[in-house]
Amino acid sequence: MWRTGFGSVFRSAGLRGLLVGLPVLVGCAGGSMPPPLAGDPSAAESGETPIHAVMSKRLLLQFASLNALLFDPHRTETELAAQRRLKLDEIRATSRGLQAAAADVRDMDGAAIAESLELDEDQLRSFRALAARLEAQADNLAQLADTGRLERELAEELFEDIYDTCDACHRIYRDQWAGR
Amino acid sequence: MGCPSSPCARRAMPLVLAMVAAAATTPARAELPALSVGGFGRMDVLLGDISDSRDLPGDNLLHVPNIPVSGQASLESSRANAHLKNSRAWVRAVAETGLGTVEAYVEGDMAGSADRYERRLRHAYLIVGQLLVGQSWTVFTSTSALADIEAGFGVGNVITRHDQIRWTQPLGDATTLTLAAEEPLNRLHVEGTDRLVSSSRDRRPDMVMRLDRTGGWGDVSVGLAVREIATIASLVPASETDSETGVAVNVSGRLALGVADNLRFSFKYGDALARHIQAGYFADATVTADGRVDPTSTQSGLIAYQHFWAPRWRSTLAASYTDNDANAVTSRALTRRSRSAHANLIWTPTPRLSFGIEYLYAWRQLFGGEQGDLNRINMTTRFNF
Repeated sequence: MWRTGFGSVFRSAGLRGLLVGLPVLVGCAGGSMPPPLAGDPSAAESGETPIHAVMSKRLLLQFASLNALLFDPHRTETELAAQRRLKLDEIRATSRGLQAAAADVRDMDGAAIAESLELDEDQLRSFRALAARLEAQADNLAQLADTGRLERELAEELFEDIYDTCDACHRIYRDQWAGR
Repeated sequence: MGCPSSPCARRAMPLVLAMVAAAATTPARAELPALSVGGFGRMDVLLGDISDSRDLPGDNLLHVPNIPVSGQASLESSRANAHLKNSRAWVRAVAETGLGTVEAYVEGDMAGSADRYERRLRHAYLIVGQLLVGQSWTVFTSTSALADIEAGFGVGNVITRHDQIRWTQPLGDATTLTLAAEEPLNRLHVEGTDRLVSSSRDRRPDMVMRLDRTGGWGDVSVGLAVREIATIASLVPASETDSETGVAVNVSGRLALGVADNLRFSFKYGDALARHIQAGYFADATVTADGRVDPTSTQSGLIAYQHFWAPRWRSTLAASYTDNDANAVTSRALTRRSRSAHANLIWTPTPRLSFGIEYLYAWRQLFGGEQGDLNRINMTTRFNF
């Protein structure tokens, strides 16, 4: 619902198309998050939001801040370009954090995951694959931010891919937790 | 506010472009500059409850001298105005040269005249490394602290653009020192009259510096301006002059609050501050009949809270004030103090398009005691390109 509602509206944007990422990343940081896995190294304490979700939310905020520059009524393009570089640096750093957190999730002990979430073998394989995919996507985002090449088409495609990954993984959780 | 017909800026433009082109074609680095163009179209619709019936700048934006006061002639109740004067375009050229990165920038709008569309140069400068030469915002202002309000600026904003030579020096990762020599321009009140005139005996440039500190919490700046204010040639023989040195301080910044919310603030105090406050409608000093210069003490401030209701909805609540404690001022017709308050709601359905509506309340009082206020609704549509 988020993706359809926002994606069609923002499809014609430029770097400005980063706005499409906002609802996408809400999917990874939103209120429907299941509790962390027992022994989940990405969660500081039981009940706290996993690090990969924290990183996703942070990216959401950073992109909102980046997009707000589009409507600054006072500063010159020189100043705004400098601000965009700073914010892209932040986005790159957070993307690396998301990449590391996704790698941690991917490398979690399979037995612990399976027991905690009551996943069968197929679901466990999907879980690991999705974590690896999120890691790769975060790496790609960081590289693009590093080069300043967050162009419209790439940005929209990347954010929709991340959304798909988050949604697919959470669907596994929701399927499991819904049955409890 | 800016120099719509600044001779320096007009001469600077072709020079700026020529310098970039020449630097880009030197044998050592024959690399074409990266050229970019941008801007926005903006339409303002203003509905006010009172207006001076003449075509004045105050019809297009908040302009304190145009806030009607009691007893003023030529007033009319309610006025509607619509214009596109705040539309803006810029051209930017960046090139790598033997001297490092060189940038030329030109920006203009159509707000050069109150009663018609007239081109106005907002910024025109050349940057070579840490050096900027040309016309741009005064260094006294941290542009980060300027509020996101549709009326343009509150009564206490420091918003002037000056011809300047500026040097920016980083002091570590989070601190920057900026020094500038800026075009001097003093507005003087002639004792016994209601006139504000520009001084014709400016000799020394305004020396301005600003220290910026930034971090994840936002940014804070401290600005200092030192200015010479000299007497008017028509009042004293050429061989006799009087001048005073005025000093002003500006503490401003933007504090991050939560997700994208922020608090912007700016507080200024000092002598000879009037040149930096909303189009200089205060006097920097009073010149007595015998040519003596008596600087004006002024204080002003602005605070603005910006809240993001959702990624595409934002609002700003702002309040601003200016007090001119000019003991030497004898004219009852000049502005003594002013206030403004702003509340807006802006919707950006797409990253290129925004719609805004803002309520403005403004008030001013003259030295003679007369006062007046206005209420205005400002609706805007903006398209980025």
